[in-house]
Amino acid sequence: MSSYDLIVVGGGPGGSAAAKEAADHGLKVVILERGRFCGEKNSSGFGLSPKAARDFDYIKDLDVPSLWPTKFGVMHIVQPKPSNGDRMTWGLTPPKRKSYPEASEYMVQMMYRPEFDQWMAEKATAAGAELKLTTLATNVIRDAENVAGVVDHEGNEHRAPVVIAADGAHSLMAKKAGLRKKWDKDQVTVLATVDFEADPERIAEYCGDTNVHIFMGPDRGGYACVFRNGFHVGSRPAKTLQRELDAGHNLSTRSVIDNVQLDFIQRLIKATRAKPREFQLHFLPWLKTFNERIYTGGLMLTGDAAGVPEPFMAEGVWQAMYSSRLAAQVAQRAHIDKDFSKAYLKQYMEELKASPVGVDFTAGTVLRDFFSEWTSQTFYDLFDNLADAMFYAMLTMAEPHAQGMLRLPAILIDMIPQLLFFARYYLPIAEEASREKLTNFLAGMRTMAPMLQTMMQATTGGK
Amino acid sequence: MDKYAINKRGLVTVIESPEDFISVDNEKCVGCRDCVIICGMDLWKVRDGKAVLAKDYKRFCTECASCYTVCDYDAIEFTFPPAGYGIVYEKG
Repeated sequence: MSSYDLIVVGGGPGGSAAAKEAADHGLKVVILERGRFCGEKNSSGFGLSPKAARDFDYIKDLDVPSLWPTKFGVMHIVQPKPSNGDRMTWGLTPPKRKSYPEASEYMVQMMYRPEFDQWMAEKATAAGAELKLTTLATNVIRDAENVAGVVDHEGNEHRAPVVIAADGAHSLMAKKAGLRKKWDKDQVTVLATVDFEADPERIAEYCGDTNVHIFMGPDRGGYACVFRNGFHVGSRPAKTLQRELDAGHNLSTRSVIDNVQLDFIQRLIKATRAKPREFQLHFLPWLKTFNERIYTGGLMLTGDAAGVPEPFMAEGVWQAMYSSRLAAQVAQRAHIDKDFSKAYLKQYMEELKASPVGVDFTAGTVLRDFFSEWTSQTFYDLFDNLADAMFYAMLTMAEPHAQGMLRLPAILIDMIPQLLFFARYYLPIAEEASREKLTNFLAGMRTMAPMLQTMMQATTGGK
Repeated sequence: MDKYAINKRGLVTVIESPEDFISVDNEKCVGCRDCVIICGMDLWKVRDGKAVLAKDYKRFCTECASCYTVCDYDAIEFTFPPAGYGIVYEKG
């Protein structure tokens, strides 16, 4: 039997962030990881948002071989099947309006998960945490009401007054601690991903600064993220498992295989001499609200085990790191106060709900519904009309320009229902996010009204 | 385009577990087919009204636990392969 101040189950970015935080503050910490290396069981990291560099100083030193901060991303509106072509494509640099410096330096940092997970684990061990690989925690040890440690697959006991369970979406610790038997079918999704091996020089030459593609059409959606030495083609988290069952087939797996056939993906494959290398299925919680209890006496769930991926795009790595560090801070306080009870650990969930992780669930239900519409016919029609407004009306080279311009009002009128459709989602989101901000927005509209009236008068006056 | 067809089973690396880690309780299974629909690796079938797991599932299962999650009848039990076995994601 071994004894610690804190046991962390799971050596993903969350587990390591927790272990580093606790070890930095003098706790005796162990990480139990079931893989032979950290990241062996994790897929589809996709990328690390700038939030991680904002909130974790050490992320600024991040350096792994596949790392590629996104300076330019491309969005594709793809045509309905059987076409595999783009209808409209546009590229974007990171936003110029700064909420904090990193937010306008890159959109996301692309890298392979095993590289990142191992880099994070090294940060934890450098701080003094112990890392036990190839160790599957299978059960909890109980001491009256509280969890007092875990048992591994070989029957070894690891004791600590507090356990952080960062053991992933299918959390055995949550189950054994009696917090959750299984997720509801409408709370989880599966992302299918295909990794391609590709020549780094050809990637650099063909892709330039563009290392992320987001695409959507009326019957599919997904992403391609390019690393220095390969790329992923993924399905977007389109549906929860319930929706897949309703559809009667595995949408995620089918869609990723369809997505590979898109013309721009095929061009990427050919230009970089890429070959499929790995097929991955990534099971993750995708909640609309964040209310289920994630603590009990002596144990706190963090990361995917806690259901922290945000309700819109299901980003989860920063959320895992943030929630895990917070749990480690609560564990330190619990040691100072010598109280590991359920009542004491409640502060973890309260603080997490008030933190940016919890705030990201504001309007979660509407956000999710809105995101589902991104692959709807209406969404496609909006961009279809925008493309026509540009190239059928304004930039036409098929007709005299004045004739083309005459078409513009008709196209814009066509777009009104599509824009109202956006408002249908936007207004409730905005209302829930901040009544104060909505009031300011309306006040702004009111100040604009006289200007609009002046402009209208000028036009009519000219006749 | 056949050159780029995705052969799922050829693209997963799995260290075959020496132990079973998924089991079906035939008493509870009603043959609803939800596990068949949800498995991204196509490892389930329904035979004679009961869910049947592929004999070689330990070579292809990615341990996503979808089958366990969708089973309304608690007929499927899922743990994980022993440490050191199972799915290997080198490029996750």
